[in-house]
Amino acid sequence: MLTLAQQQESLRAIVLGRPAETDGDAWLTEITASRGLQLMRATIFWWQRFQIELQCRYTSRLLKRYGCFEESVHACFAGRSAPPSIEELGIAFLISLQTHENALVRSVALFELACLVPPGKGSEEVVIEWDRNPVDVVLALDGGSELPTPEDEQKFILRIGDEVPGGMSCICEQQPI
Amino acid sequence: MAGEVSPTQQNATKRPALATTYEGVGLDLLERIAPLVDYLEIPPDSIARTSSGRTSLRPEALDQIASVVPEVNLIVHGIGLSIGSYDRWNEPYLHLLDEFFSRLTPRWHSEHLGFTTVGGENIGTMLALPRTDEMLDLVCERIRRIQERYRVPFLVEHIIHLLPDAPAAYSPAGFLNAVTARTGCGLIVDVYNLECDQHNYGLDIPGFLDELDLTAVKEIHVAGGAEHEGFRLDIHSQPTAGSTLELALDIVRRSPNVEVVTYELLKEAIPGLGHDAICAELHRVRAAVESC
Repeated sequence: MLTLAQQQESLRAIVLGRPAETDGDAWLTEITASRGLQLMRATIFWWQRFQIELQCRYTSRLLKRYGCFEESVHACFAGRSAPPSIEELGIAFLISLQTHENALVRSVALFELACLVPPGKGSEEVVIEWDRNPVDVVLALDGGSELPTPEDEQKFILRIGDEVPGGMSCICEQQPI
Repeated sequence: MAGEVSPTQQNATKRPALATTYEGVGLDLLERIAPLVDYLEIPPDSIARTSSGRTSLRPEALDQIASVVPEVNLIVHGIGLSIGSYDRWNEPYLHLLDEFFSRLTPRWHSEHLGFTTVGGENIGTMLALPRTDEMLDLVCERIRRIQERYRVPFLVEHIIHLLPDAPAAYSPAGFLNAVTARTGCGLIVDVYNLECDQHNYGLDIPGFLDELDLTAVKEIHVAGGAEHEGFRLDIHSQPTAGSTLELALDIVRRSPNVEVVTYELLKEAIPGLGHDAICAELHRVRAAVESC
């Protein structure tokens, strides 16, 4: 007979898809093989994906265009605990994308993160480097049109912060040739 | 004693009031639904935000809610307490409750009989409690502490089961009876949850209701949801099915202390359903309750 602690620790591992020691316990074995468990995991993933789409509109759209949205959500949350509140799912997801191989994904995710969690008074401004005009990127993601191509000779520096006039500014810099 | 449910003269002659969920989504919806209900059900978790690692209630959501008081009464319905975690409950949720109570006074507050965290880690879903004496002791002690901390009645709600039940010493209704008898807390019967359990695991609803101490029932939840791969899910996203409403009315007739029937709807379902449909549903549930 499992203790309450053993029951809940095992359930946590099973639900999150981690190795769980069932030690031949009939109930845990039944759960592991149950359709309800598969459905529960699918529902958790669906809910995470749904919340990410709601909270991280531009990043989600960009990842969908690259065909890696679901894979990115899965990579962020599979086997890990979810943040304690729903509102933090988007933040956790955007932070996870800061190591993404695609520069545009990193830029859009950081931009959206700065919008979700604006730098407060006295905190450092967020500086985001873009390889193409961020306004055109956002318009393309909003309107469903084609994304602008990277600018070979220019980069765009977007600053977001309390000290920045208007809260946000963007300048275009020539790349050294 | 705070948290006790006692039969009221009022309910012997008065029909239950109507409530619906409000998750701080905006004044445009609030201004439509507030005139149609007597109570708003506020989930503190849903009107909270986290900043610099600290979760607190959004002031603008509190302002919106305060703007309809006292014309509309408030009830608080939590998701995040994790009352049945073996190690500890979720203390940050209590901070949200403290914040809410410091600004507004709900008629009562409530929580689900389940757990969402283990070892402080969020498992991303809410799991049902094993119906054992050990869990009964744990939950009752925590309810006692809540009743001491907040001097308004506290209610608990049963949740759906997607996983097979753990070995149990009590029947589903027997466990709820033991909790309410020992603590004096009230009970929410979620009719849609009962239908989910009937559909998914063959819960005997008539047997459950025959065994349940219906004098403890203070609130009834109705909702509509979705079915996926043969399972009925408690995603409150639709108008209430006719069968759900019929069953709710049956429980209202049999429960002498029901004060409120709440139509629950997730904020994520609002854009798909639309404000007109939500208002129409509130009219429909009100008319059904008044026909009792």
